[in-house]
Amino acid sequence: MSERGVEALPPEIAEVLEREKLGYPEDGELKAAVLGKVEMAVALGGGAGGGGGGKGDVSPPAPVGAGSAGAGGATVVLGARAVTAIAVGTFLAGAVVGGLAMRRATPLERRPIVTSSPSIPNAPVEPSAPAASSAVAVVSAASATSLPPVAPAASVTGSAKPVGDPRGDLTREREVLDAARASLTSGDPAAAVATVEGHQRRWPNGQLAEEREVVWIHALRAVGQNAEAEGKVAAFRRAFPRSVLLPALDPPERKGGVP
Amino acid sequence: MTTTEEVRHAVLSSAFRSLFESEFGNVCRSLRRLGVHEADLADVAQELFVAVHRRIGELDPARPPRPWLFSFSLRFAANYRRLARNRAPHVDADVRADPADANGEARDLVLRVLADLDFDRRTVLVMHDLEGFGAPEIAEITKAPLNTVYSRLRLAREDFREAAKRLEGKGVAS
Repeated sequence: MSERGVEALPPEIAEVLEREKLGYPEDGELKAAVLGKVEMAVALGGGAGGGGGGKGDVSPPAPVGAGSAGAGGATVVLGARAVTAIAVGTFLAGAVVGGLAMRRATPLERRPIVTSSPSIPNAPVEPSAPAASSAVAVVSAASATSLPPVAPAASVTGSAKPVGDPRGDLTREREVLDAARASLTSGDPAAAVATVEGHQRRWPNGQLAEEREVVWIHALRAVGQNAEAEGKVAAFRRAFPRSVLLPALDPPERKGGVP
Repeated sequence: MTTTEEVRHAVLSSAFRSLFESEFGNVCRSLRRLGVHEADLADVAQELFVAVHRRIGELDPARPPRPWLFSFSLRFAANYRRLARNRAPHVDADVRADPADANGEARDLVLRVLADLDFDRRTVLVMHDLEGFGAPEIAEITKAPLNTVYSRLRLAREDFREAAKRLEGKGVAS
């Protein structure tokens, strides 16, 4: 370039810069993981607070008018309970997908994925309310409760899977949690409880144990076992003190006043 | 929270999804060039896109989204770098390219060289020589005078050449 005395790049530097542009192959796993986390953060009520505050060097361009884009206008006709089902489904799907993909994509010793979770507002969803009608397929809890018994020793570490096939177990874990979520959102929390109990028996320390506990807590509340649910909440806070799912565990009455 | 708000928050809008699908790779590449380590990329990208989601209504559909998105990348990268531990001038050991991957090697070299540059100069170099923004656009996004942009670009290129020579001397670039 020859703008205002700025020299053209030497050919060897220009070549390196051109090659650099091709050095970032698409990472589908990372993309899926981030999308899942964004969905979860949005379902939790707006997310992580802007990533570090307002002292940035620059701000995004000024608004150009027109209200925020979103699905709201087209979906207002949905009933409140259906909305709740969508919110619950989105949140839990995000949790499961995000957790799954992040565990694949990052070393175990890394710090938790969201460092600003305390700023996430309370979840805007009411997870324990069953949907009046749901398009979500109801998956029988029997599929989980009839799972093969856990191998006594191996299951302690959640590794009852063949070595070298970690993704297979992840997929099965996700399927079981999907079934539990479907039961919960379709108004059958007892089946959801049975399903997550099956998950816990099969993968006591599975890779989606964190997400399982959240589903479990919501299901227990939905069936009225509040004391047990709160005990699990306390245990969850101890086990996962920096979990991004913590805001979703607030009791339902605390979510009503969310601005 | 009203029903409408619940829906809007629960379901990502199609506009956002479309933007995410098309620009996720570009955003990640920008964040890396601006100093976000590979190991932290998912965290920073997640927070960035949550912020984008909140402000998606401000995106002018008549204009290309990249400058708007880059302003997010710049802000999040700057915030990220405020933590001293994130300013370490190195490229993550776990992302060293396969020696047979010429493009990956070039990426590693460029990231190493960029890590040695002053952040403001680095920003202008990245925007101009790697992201393809024009100087007036850079001035608008960084809110710097146009002459400052030219000056930073000139200095950044000098720094870049010197840093590249140093690395070559250490055998890193070969």
